[in-house]
Amino acid sequence: MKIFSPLKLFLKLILIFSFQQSHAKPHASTQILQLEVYKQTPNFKTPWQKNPITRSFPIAVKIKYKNKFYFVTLAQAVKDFKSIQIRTAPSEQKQVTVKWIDQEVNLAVLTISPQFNHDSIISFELAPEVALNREVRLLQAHTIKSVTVKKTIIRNIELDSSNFSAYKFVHYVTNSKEPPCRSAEALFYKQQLVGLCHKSNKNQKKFIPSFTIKNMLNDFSENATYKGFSDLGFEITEKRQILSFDHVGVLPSSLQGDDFAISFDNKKLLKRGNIEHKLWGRVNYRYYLHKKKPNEKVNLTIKQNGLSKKITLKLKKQNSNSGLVRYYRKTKTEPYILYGGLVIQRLSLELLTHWGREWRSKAPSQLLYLLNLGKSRGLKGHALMISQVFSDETTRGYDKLKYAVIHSVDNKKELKFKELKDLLQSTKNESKSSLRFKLMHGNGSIIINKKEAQEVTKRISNIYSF
Amino acid sequence: MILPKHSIQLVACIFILTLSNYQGKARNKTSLDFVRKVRPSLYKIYTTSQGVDYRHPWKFSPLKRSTGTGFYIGKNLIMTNAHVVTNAKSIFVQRDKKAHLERAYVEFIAHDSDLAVLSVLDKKYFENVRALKFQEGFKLNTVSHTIGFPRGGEQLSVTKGIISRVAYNTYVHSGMSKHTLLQVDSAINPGNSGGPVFHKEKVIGVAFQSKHDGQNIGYMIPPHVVNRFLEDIKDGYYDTHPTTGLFINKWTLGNKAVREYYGQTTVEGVEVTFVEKNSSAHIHIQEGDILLKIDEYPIGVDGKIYFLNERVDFRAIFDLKQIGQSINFVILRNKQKKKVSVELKPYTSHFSSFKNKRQGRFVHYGGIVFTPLTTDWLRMAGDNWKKKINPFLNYLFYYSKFDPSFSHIEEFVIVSELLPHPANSPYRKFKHAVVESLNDKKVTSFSHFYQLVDQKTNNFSKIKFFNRKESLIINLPTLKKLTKEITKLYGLKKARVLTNNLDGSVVKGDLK
Repeated sequence: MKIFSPLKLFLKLILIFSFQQSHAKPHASTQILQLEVYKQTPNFKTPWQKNPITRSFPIAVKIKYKNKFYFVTLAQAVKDFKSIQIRTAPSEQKQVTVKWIDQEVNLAVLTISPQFNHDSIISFELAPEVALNREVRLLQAHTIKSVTVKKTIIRNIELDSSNFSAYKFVHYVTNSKEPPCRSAEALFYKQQLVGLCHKSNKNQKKFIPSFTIKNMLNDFSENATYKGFSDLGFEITEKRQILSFDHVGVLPSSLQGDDFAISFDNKKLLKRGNIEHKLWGRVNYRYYLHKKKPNEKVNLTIKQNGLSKKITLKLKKQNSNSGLVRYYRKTKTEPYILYGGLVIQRLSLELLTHWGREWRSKAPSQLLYLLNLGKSRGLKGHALMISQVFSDETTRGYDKLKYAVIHSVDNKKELKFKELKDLLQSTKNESKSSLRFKLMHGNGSIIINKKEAQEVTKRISNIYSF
Repeated sequence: MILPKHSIQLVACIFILTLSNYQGKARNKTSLDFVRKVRPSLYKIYTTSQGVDYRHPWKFSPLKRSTGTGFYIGKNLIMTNAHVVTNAKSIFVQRDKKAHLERAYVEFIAHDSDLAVLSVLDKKYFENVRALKFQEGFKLNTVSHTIGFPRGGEQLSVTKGIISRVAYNTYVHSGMSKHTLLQVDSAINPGNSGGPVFHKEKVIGVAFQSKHDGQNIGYMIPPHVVNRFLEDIKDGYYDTHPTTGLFINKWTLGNKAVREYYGQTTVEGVEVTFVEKNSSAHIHIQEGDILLKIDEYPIGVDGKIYFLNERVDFRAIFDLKQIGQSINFVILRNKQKKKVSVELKPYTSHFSSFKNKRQGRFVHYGGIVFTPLTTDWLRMAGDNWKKKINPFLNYLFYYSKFDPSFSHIEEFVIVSELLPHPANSPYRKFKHAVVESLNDKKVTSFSHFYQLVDQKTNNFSKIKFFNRKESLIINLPTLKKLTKEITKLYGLKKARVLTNNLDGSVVKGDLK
């Protein structure tokens, strides 16, 4: 027979009440910082044009870190913004500007002007590392004023990169069959921020963890200059092989291509490049790498020619754009050159993603090859291409060319975008009457008369309203 | 009696109509008279084919039954298309209006020009059969009759049309070779393949392909392409269709700046953009040369010559040439005109010709199956395979010939499959990886690869791949020991098939 216990019931009610207090549903317009972002992205296939303006409502989280408040959101949420506003009261709006944006890690820090009293907005502390299978809350903003909080569970930690980076970071993963996260959904536990959602598919959502956000905010809190995230300069593969980042690129002089890594930062390396972790069992070595800042040092033990060897390496700053292909844009427009009816662009990830969700298989294979293996095959400089050719007398015979990759211009190889731009400017006054673009992949070359090129550029600019 | 004026007109009209109707019937009777004469030389071809699964080369695809058309050309030979008898394990031919099936075999097959000739063991079978003759030369708008055994019925079908275009385009059977073809507007349907297209009593082409996204667009192989094939096999061996390995830019010489750059004074010729290594033109012709003439034909800026009464691609000249013969060019190099003679060689490239063999080549070490990466291998992705294959393989197929990184390659080697076993489980992710080197020695072909592996006796070997960041570190002696066990486990007859020159179709020796 079950005995009714008033004391037991009382305790239970207190527990439920306290739980509800800690996970209280925030009020959309006053307690949550919901941005109203108006964006306009360039059209990468016709870079002199822009796409229609779009409006979105991503969340920005108010983070209290070292006694300062920061408004943080995803870089992808505010990139290419024309205007960002927040509603501080039903009829009051304020302008938001982006103070700092790191597209490699997909985070942005915002400033709001003029200053306003943001006491009513819930602030989060940054959560320490969270154990797997922990139940947490997911804050989702659907439209303005429509915010929901749902329970979810952290299932895993996984390596993944942002849409604009060649580097991988450790992420939290939750199972969720909800619609994809488009609004920088916040994952929290009590009043601590666990992560910001930046990627999702049918079954799971991936969150930039609080410890990565902390690494970013640390720079601002300490010296107000942003150092960025560190890069080892090479990869340690799943089989712990030392591999130059670009497959056959340059390794530090103390390393050889066939070396095996034994320990990283004085921690033993296990299979799949993992290191033991108290909370998660194992975590990829990049977790420890990203705790360090560029120019700091890291110890590595390697096996070289059968012998153990200890080395110390100075960390570099991550820069995904240093290779052939541009991963992200620092400008609001797509840089391009119009020269004698030719449109020249640097191959970028943004252009490739214009082939749709399955761009990795749908984009032209010669461009994908440059992205995936170009550097490893010894190609240097930037992958510059004739993305389009306007039909004109000067371009006769070339007007069918599209996405033809430039090998050299007047025998100058391995050019970077700016170098090519300068070269085309400087050649205006030279005595040679024509300029020769040699193309890769059997496309031959393009010969343009320099004098005519200037006239054609003007003509095409007028006809096509550049 | 005087008839009213309009009555006379009416009678005249009736007379004219009757006369024209009579004449029409008479003309039709005459024009179709030839059908009665040529029918006994036509054959319906029944094939049962079975191809190799090149990704699992010890396996074969399901049996496929199909029919085509053929016609007797004399010397105990029936002409048809290569695709009618590709991988045919059994071929029967049925002469029109005869209730008898005769077993046939492939005497010669040319996958590049989609032609084949069949024969039978009992040569008496062809007694009293009239050999059909080809007509030399043709003109647009020539009336043509396509005769054969297309789907939709058992009996012979005759459709009428005209030659509506002379073109130079891809022969879809190989998907790689371009030749002259004639477009006709008479229906060409499955089953018509290999059948003759007549003008009066003479054959003006061999029906072989059609376009599905247009109306009444059928194609036939013109007589000069057929004659080149018949000439080629006269020595008892098919040498293949010659090509130059030249890539060009059309129209650029129409551009004043380009003409000035190259020192070309007249508006003619095409610019060479690339010359394939090991091709006929290699060394003789260089990138940046301007081709002005091929044999006696001036080449226009559109890359065309006046040939067969039409303007067609200058490479159509190769449809007249045999391996070993020469072709003469007038070129412009360094602003100087020059005569160049090119001796024609068989075509070789990383993904050379379409080769239907009786069995695919492969070797497996401990269940890691290596095969040559051929067009046949890529075709296993099914219809529209060029779009389905992964981007790296697509890149190799289209661009490896232009890329100096692959200039040493004769034939790519791919990890085609992994026959699961605990010993090879860590290597699953290397499936479809393309071999670059073995212990830092660059691999140039399938035979080079297995020779290098077979020579290895020490424990660990490193296989590097073009499309994988990580290398495959394997203990070769251990894997080699497991090979026998895995071969047995998966029911393979052999652990390796290194060479195979037998064609996939039934040959004379198979019937004896």
